[in-house]
Amino acid sequence: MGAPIFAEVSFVIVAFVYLFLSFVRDQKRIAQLLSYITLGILVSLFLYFIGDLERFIGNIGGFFNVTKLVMSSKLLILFVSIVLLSLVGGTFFWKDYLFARAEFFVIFLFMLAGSFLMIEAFDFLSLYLAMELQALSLYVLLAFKKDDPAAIEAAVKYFVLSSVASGVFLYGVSFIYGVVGDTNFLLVYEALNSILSVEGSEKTIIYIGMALVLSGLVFKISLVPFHMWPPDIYQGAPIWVVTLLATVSKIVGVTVIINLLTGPFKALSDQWELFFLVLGLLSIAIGSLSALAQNNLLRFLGFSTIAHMGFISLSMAGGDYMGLEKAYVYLIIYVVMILGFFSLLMEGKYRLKYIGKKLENLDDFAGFSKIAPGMSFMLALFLFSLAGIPPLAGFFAKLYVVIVLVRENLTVYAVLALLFSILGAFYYLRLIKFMYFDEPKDKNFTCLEFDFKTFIFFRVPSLLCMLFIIFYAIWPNRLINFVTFIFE
Amino acid sequence: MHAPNEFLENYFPILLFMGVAAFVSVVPVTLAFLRAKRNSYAAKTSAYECGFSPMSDTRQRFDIRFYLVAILFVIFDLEIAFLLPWAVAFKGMELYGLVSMLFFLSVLIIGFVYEWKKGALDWE
Repeated sequence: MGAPIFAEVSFVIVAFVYLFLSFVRDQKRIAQLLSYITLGILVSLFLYFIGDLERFIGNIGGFFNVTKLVMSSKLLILFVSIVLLSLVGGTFFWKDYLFARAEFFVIFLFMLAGSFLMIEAFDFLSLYLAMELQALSLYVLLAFKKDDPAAIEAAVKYFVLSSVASGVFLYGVSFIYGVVGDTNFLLVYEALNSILSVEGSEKTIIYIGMALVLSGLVFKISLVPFHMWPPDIYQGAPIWVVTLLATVSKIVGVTVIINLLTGPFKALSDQWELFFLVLGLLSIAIGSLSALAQNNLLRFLGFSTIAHMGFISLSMAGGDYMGLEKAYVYLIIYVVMILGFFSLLMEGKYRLKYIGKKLENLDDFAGFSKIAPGMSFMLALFLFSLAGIPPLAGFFAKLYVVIVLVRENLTVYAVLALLFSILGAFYYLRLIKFMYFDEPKDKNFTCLEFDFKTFIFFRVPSLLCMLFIIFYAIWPNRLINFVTFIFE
Repeated sequence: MHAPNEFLENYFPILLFMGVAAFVSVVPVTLAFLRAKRNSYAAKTSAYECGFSPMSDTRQRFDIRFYLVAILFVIFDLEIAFLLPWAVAFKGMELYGLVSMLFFLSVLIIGFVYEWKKGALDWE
């Protein structure tokens, strides 16, 4: 009893213990200690989970339901959080004590508990509660840098937009509850199945309810009509929190949407396929076109996120199970790419700040290959992968989406998506051009030296991600078979 | 599953409610407007704003502690709102209900101790 959610319960209990450590005077040392303890907890959970995925499968009171898909998303989130904690250790090492407080770890653990509960929710009510827990923790993390106007602006924007999105979600749930009379996923699925087989006027209400629920969730993964937040927030918020938003938040959003599409809304596949087709194509178009004009690196990454999420959405549009599977494959590859990219970016930022330079706009990267050859090489690889250049993992992710679309007779959409992503390749390649073909602004530059601790904190995670995207091409079936296994 | 007309019929009480609400809110105001004696002076017509001067710059700063106390109030008000129905239905829940409520209260108490220790309640 209770075994399926023991990770979440232990997160909350540990967070309460941490809360009392915030009274200790020397917060810097406490924070360092807590980062190691939390890392230990997460690593042991990761190893425990990876041993046997099916051990924790079960249903708790109809409110939470742990499946293989949920377990694999939990593993992905745990991996990302381990890397994120390593990055936090890196910020402490570079004497940036923004997160050096016990409360930071409390909120981080609450965020993880909220994310876990959200992906395994089996009832619209528990889904909403978990969503609010996660969102509240994210608001606080975004506003952590409370003396920086840009960060506060980002936090307030995210707060307002996210509240509106959860309002829209609740409104949709109220429609579904009005028709079905229950909020449990299984009961909703059965009721919708029987209602849809009868002719009647309530179909429209169900469609409206589903569209509103999905709109509230699609906000989390920033598809087009709800895409205004990533550029502003990526630019303003502390970069560590941006990494969190770009990875954990996206994993949770996509997994919850897959849960809904294979669960309560399974009978409505004709409707949501159209929904995701339109949103996906618009996201790719607007994300790629707007990124062209950007000069700020993080802002540009915000727009590129929109385009990538567009591919996931298009894949969801392509059919019941194959499309969702390939969307999940895309998600895994995307998260690994963006995680490696962000850890390199954080390393670059701290190291250049140390020698009195900054790394904010695209032209700050001019001649970066001469200052930091190794880092530029890895950045270039990640950029090639994000653009979808063949031997790297990013190419395969896009390829699967295109195959799904062609099989579903949506060739026109596949062609359009590819055309826009060629346009998108321009801005990834532009950054590589800055790094490799331009001269440094400052003529008498110095090459960055090797630093062991920085290597451990920042470079090891990005190296792991890089190995994944390089060697993916050799054993592509491993991941595909795994995803087929968790979806069966 | 209802036919269209029957479906709308379900909303009839809401229509009725809106009608009654409109009646109740409009009639007393109209009557007062028509019948009452008017004898107004400055203090009587000014808006009542718990302790603040109503006519001043809206961008006035106010102490964050007002806000903290308000939040604390809301939390414990909600606690009461949960405790009352819990107490009424206590007989049917047995140990499970007791443990759940104890967990809920202990979470609240941890939060309260944190706030206390952090000095949010000191008015100095």
